[in-house]
Amino acid sequence: MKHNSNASGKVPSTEHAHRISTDVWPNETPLLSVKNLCVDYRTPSGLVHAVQRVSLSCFKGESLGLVGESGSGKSTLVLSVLRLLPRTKVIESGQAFFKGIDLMKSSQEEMSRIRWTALSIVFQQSMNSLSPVHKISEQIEDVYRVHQPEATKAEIRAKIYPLLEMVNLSPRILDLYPHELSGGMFQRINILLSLVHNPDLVVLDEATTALDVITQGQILDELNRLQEELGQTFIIVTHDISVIADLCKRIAVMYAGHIVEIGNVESVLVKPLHPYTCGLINSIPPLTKGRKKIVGIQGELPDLRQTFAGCPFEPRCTEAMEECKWKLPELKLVNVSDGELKTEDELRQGHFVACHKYLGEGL
Amino acid sequence: MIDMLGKPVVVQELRKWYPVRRSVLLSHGQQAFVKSVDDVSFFIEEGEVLGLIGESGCGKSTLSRVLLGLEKPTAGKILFKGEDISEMLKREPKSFRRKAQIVMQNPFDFLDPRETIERALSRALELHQIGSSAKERSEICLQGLEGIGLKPARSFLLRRPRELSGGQLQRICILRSMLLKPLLLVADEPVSMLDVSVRADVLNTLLDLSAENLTSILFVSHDISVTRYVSNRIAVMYLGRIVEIGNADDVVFSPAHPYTEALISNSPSPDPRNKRERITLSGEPPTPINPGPGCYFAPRCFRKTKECANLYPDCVDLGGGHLVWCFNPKN
Repeated sequence: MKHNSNASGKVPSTEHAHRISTDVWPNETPLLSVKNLCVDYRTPSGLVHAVQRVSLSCFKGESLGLVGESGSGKSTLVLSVLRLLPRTKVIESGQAFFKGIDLMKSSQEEMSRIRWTALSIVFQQSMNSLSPVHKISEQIEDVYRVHQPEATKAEIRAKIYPLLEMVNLSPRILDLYPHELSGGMFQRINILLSLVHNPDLVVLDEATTALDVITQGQILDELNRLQEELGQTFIIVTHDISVIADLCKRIAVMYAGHIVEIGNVESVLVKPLHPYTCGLINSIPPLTKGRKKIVGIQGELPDLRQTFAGCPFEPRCTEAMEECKWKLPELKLVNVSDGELKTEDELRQGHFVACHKYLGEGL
Repeated sequence: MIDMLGKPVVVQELRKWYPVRRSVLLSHGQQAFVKSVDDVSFFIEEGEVLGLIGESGCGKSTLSRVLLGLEKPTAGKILFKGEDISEMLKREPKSFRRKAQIVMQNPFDFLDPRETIERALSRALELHQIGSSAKERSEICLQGLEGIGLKPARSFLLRRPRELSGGQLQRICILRSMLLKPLLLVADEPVSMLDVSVRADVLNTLLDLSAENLTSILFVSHDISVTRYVSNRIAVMYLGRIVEIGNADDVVFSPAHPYTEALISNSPSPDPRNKRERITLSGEPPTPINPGPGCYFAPRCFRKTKECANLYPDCVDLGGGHLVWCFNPKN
């Protein structure tokens, strides 16, 4: 056993942790790296700070889950990175590097080239993303021809058929109209559409939320298969921790526009550190174990028009200290394993938390 | 047979069929029906929570509407303490309404945005002549609010719905129904619109008030872990029929019907270490237009045998009130 101070106290220490940050690993550049992203909405009653100085990264083959309650800024974050927010309504600052390009500085033309081919998104309201008066096949062809105008019908079909099989749809649906499809089929077509140009990264924004349990289970299985067989990378935005537990390698927990905890799924969900994450996990009734009384988190989401001097979760936190009122906690690496962090693989498991309760190394 | 007449809520062979326009389905000149609720029987004990789970379109909401007297059943009976509700509705509709209350999915649509919470709560009391004066009613509201942990209660009385969060509003909706001490409360997806962190308070409020007033609750949901948390017993519905009913833990831990098995294996767990093998069902639920004659689940079933296609299975009693309608139940 190596000498470490972890045995003494309950609070995990980071004495032996290497100085690393959430977004720079040795030897590898992340697929998407967001740095200090801020998004403010202009409203008649002032600026709403929906996303505040968020930094995170997503690596190839390692799907990232973004979890938070309504108003936590999770959707705003991904929509901003995809540059889908109306320019007149928001103020954005920060950087988002995707394959070496800063998306936040890209022109509309550059963005149109990147969308679908390198970066695509699937929304929750999938029924609204298809035209009701065109056959599915026509719509898929349309999307395909945006980036490959010369493609023939036969080429497109050759590309679509394996994908149809991937998402468990029969080729029969190509001749149907959207109203003839069920919710699950809709969502499968949207996932298929997002994959037609082999993008490096697919964002799923609450993509399985509106579906029935069994359909959701099937789609989760299909997404897992896409990850295994194609090495597809996803960013999954949801309020449902279970979906992330099923699909992702890493998870980021958002609260009031801030990332409060980020790390390996097993580490964060099994040994949550931030009081908010703990509260969130404690409010889900278990299905497998014995019954225990669940408790919610007291209070409600703060008004996002204010700028936080201290921790945004402080008013609802049961473990708040004096410091929490005036000092905004930064994300820091906390060593949750017993031994020393050493290999790159172990570094990857890095578990970061923004809470004054934990001693740790800042970025 | 158990003594049904003594139970507060008894449903006997209830049917709700909606006729389909003939031009839609030409089935040899015969009238086609959407069998939303088909031959459903169950009872709820005093102060008991019966969970009802199933996919969208399985008839959960139709069943709750019929129970509340909002839809007339095509056939069958609903008895409140032995009395047929269709008789009660004819004789004294108001006293029936007091006995059967509902909590809906969206609390923001349930309360008038212009009314204060006091007005919303005391109007329910006023309509049913509970409390002799405005002052007394206000006192009842105050006590109620305090009872569900909304403190200081007096400040809540004067607020309007927009000043409250979804969780608080939903608790107020539950309180308003419960102030009438109903016999039956139907809670139709009461937490599915709410954030995870406030669901617990709403569910606990529901449980506390049900125990206090001995109200029977029908808890309709598609979320199995939430249903298991609140329910004493769980009924599983598929295409208008109950396919399995029993104690919550029996149904969740040892499901006997293949459909229940599939539902439970597909409900995701927040623990990443706990990855279960999901049972995949082929296809989507078929339409409830003239299903049968065999088991409605047979086309998607992974345990089907020859007889499943020809005959709807009879009820199999697995003991302890655990009933299943299947030819090949899992033991």
